[in-house]
Amino acid sequence: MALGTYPSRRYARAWMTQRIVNRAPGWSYIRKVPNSVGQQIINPLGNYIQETVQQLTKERYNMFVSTADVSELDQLHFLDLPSTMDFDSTENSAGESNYTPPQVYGTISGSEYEITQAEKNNIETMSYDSIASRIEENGTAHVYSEVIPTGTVANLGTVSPGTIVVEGHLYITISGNETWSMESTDYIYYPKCYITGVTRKGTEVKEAVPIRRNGTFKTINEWNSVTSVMISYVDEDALITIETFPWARDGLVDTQNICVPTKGGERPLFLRLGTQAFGSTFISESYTVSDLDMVRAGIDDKEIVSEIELLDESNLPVTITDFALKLNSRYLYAIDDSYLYVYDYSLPSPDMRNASSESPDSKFDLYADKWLLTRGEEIILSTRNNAILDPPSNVRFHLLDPDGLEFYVGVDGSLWSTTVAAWIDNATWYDGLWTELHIPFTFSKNGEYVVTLEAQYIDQTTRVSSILKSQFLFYLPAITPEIQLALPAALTIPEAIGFDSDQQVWLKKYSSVHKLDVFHDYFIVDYQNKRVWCNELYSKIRVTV
Amino acid sequence: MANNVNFIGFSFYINPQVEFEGVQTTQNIVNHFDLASDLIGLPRLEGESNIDFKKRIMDVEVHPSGGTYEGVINGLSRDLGFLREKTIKIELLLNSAGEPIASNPRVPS
Repeated sequence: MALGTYPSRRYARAWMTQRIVNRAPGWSYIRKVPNSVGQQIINPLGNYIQETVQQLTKERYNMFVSTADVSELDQLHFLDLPSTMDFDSTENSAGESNYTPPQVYGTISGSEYEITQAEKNNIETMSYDSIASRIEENGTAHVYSEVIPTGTVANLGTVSPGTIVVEGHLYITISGNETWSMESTDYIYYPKCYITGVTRKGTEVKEAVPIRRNGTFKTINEWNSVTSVMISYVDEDALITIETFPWARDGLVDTQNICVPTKGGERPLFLRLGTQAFGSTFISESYTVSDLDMVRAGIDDKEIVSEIELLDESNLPVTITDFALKLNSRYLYAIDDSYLYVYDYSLPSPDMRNASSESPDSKFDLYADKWLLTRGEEIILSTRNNAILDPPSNVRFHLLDPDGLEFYVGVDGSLWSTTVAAWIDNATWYDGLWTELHIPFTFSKNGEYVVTLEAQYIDQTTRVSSILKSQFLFYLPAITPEIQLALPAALTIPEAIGFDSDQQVWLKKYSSVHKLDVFHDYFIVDYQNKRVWCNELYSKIRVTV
Repeated sequence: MANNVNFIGFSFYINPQVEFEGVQTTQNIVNHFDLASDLIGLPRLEGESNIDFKKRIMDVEVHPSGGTYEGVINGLSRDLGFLREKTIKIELLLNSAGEPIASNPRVPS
């Protein structure tokens, strides 16, 4: 089997879509309903603009050496083919000739492996968007210790800073603090953490890191050693940790996505793992308020924006130990006892094909607080009759589950076989009235659940009945890894994973950190100049046409 | 691999080569680090990775090159890709008053 694979997921729901449609009036369907036809049309455009915004952010960081991404493409390795070697070509129905890609084999530690051609035979798909194809233990390992192990702020003075095991940025984690400013007659003081020491560059500096909420903060400087740490204006019993990898964190800030509500302010997203009875989930959450002053004032509750089930290559749930985000990409690296999983963590978009039989002249809206759910979560689906003068004589709820099974639903949420008539009579139909229904649902599988409300109307004069359908889609997202790589034998059952400042991957095991080499084995072919370009350097490569 | 040459009458054809084995050549790709290094006149070395190049760029500020003995050492070693690292640390023996035991100690750099 060839090393490497192509991204499997091409279509995701962009947060930019909601940002675009938020320019529409507050009452409009396109703004309010994430699965509306309007949003489905906007989403490809939303994805495109979102990518552009992310590119601009990346370019802004790349303007400075200290923040530039070291994983940017720096070198490629090519092999010139002899002039006597010609690529095969095939002719398509239009009479155009297309080259047949060659097979390329690289020799790695004495064994030959087939390498995958980059998806579109260009640099983007070979280097920037490609998925890790191989991992190896680097051999570099250090005994790991935090610079400041978790302890109270009151005890900080008695702790001398430990050594930095992997040079680079430091992560300061604060939890349990409740005081966010100290006022004197003339000044307001805000909490800050001061780190004094020697940077990676070799300069002696003191950096002040503003602490404006409970969470994890990254230093601007890359550090070689720390001589002293001081923190001011926080509670004595607040907890502080300073470390090379953000392992004491509660949540990681999502650098690629933000939470865009239908109305109100946009908010940052925080990422963490969730534990469910069936396995691990990947949770994106945000503060319930967009104003960080209110967060500091104590309204620091978070709400789950989406919870995605993590599956393995065989679509079975996995129990993930830890994850780390790859810089400037939509990939996250997650580990369990035996594998490293590379997931595309952008929010998957539901398959809408089963939710497209709504009657154009439907008089009912179906609505719920959330449409993104996780298994076991209870949700109430409510009806809203937009034609109050023309109520239905009876209604019926139909449920299509992700496996294609069909049910009728009772008013208490119970599921009935479709052999039962299951009509719910409108007891007040003769009075021309309607009472809105609120049906509780709990789902047990991941995927798309489509609820269809069939409302039966009877013409009072002709006695002819007609049925109008309204639909609502619940989505329980789940993602399969783009690739699943077996961990080196010495590094199975790791405790944590992290990226250092040089974008190298480290695994923690038995209080040591071990460096992991991650490779991207892909090639592109320059058919005209007979040259094969590779991402990685092999001791030897073999090309056959 | 030798080509198979088959004579047919007065003409001949060469069986096209179908396999080739070789060793790759490394080519650097210009990126943001090269743009930053242009500003300080420090070209990337052949086959140098971003990580190593970034260290050399940052070294310019800490170990400036120049016409002095120290400056020449700094400039030469950096341009050749050797970064100066601390290898030994000399701790002075102090007396009870906190002064060096030897008078006027000096270590040439």
